[in-house]
Amino acid sequence: MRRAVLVAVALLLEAAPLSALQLGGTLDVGAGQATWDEPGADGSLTLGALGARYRTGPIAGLAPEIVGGVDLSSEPAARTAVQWSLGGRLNTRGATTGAWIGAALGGAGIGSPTAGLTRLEGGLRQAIGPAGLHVWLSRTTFGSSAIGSKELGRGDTLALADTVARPVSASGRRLAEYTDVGSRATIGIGSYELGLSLVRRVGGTGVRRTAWEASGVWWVAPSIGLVGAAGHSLPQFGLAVPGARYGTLGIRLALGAAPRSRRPSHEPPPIAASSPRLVLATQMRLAIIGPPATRAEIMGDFTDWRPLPLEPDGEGRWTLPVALTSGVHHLNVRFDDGPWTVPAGTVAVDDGFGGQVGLFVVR
Amino acid sequence: MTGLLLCLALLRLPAAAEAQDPRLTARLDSATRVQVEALLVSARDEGLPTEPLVQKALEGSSKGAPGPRIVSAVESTFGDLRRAREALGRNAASDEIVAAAAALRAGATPAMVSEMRRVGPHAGVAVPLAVFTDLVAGGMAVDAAWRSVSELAHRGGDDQAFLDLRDRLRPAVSSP
Repeated sequence: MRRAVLVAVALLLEAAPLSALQLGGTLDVGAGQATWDEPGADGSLTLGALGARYRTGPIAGLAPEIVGGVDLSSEPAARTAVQWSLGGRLNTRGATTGAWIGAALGGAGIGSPTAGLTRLEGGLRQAIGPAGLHVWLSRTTFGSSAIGSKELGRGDTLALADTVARPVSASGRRLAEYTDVGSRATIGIGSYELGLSLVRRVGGTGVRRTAWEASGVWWVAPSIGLVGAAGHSLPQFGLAVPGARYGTLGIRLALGAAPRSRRPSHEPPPIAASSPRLVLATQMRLAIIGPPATRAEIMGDFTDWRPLPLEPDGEGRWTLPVALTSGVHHLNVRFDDGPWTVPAGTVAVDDGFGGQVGLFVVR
Repeated sequence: MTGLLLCLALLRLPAAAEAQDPRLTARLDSATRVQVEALLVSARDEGLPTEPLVQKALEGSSKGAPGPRIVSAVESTFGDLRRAREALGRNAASDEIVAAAAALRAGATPAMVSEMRRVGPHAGVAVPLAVFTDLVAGGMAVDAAWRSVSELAHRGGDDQAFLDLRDRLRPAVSSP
């Protein structure tokens, strides 16, 4: 499984060399308060998450992408839980409705990622204007004798409970396997993005099987957002970290694009774009819902008519952090090197060159 | 005689130099650039904003239009700005002219623009005209959009009232 994922990632990279155009990511840093699902374990919570997404060219009518990330979070004993993953996804190129499947491998541990993990996942997505709905299924397997016998620390309660229900094998593998069924609804309103997630754990063990999270991002600058989140997480068996009720505040830096949930179990799949429509026009950011594509470009009087790449935001929109003055502006967009077009949500007027240009207003 | 010609040339230099825009120098061939710069000088002489003309030329360059077509498109934009200013009156500010030109392209008539000038906010009509254009962009019929904007103008609405109107009638595009 791990070898297959690595080979697939290598093939994707070979097929489409890295370019800044298709690479995006986010860096989240936050802190807050947590009440752990473990008797008497309250305390502060610190989080860090780096996520990246690389979209390659279409393959057999599907839109592949490589996704990876590193998550750091404190646990009840104030040590640092580390988790990383690297994998690939295949997205259908449907308009407003689509599906995806993916696989990832990685590592996890306390202090260092000593235990391996693998994940198989798939889901459905539906775009409704600026809103998106995602439903997905993921199967995660942690396997490591180190976790089973040597590194159980203060967060042992749930890991031991898991062991009772699914004893560690002679080789120490299969410490935790579980399936999560998740859903996430998102909507963008001006410079604000709101999200609500609900996850139900089907396999595995633990007293808690349902997680939820309400989150919001306020983009105070084109690449800087303030993130707030509150919810109740599920235990991370591989890390021997229990679930927790939490509330956090933090900063999100858009390192290109592709926002990514800081908890893998809550991570929504990318959503397919619909027909071109300008859905956000502020002095700091433009966002366009577009047709299924692996790359999108925009040009207008705010770029001196030089094409700039739009960045997928992971929520079905193509965005551009930009400094726009209030008033009237003109633009064109194109997808996958197609013709320059005028998105809905703008006034299409003759451009004087045999085509049309979109006219829109920023206040 | 040569001295006189030199003096005339020097007198002309400031206007020509003023019209030179490094963006045009980099992206237009010299023949096209000279004609566009002449239009910029004319626009400046008439008190019209020149940035829309520069942008139209850059747009043509990016879209691979031949030089004569770029010049023609810039002339057309020049005409739009002129009509907008005629409808608004001599004292119109640059942002009002640009907004009026956009409104005309979105379907407003010069009479509509003149009416807005008469009954709209004394501080300027750039916002009401931009709101009209935005409503049309959102899919409203020109007549309906104009009726909404015009009624508010007659009631004495200020810029904020027009922005509120836009938010009520056009929630599809966020613009806080």
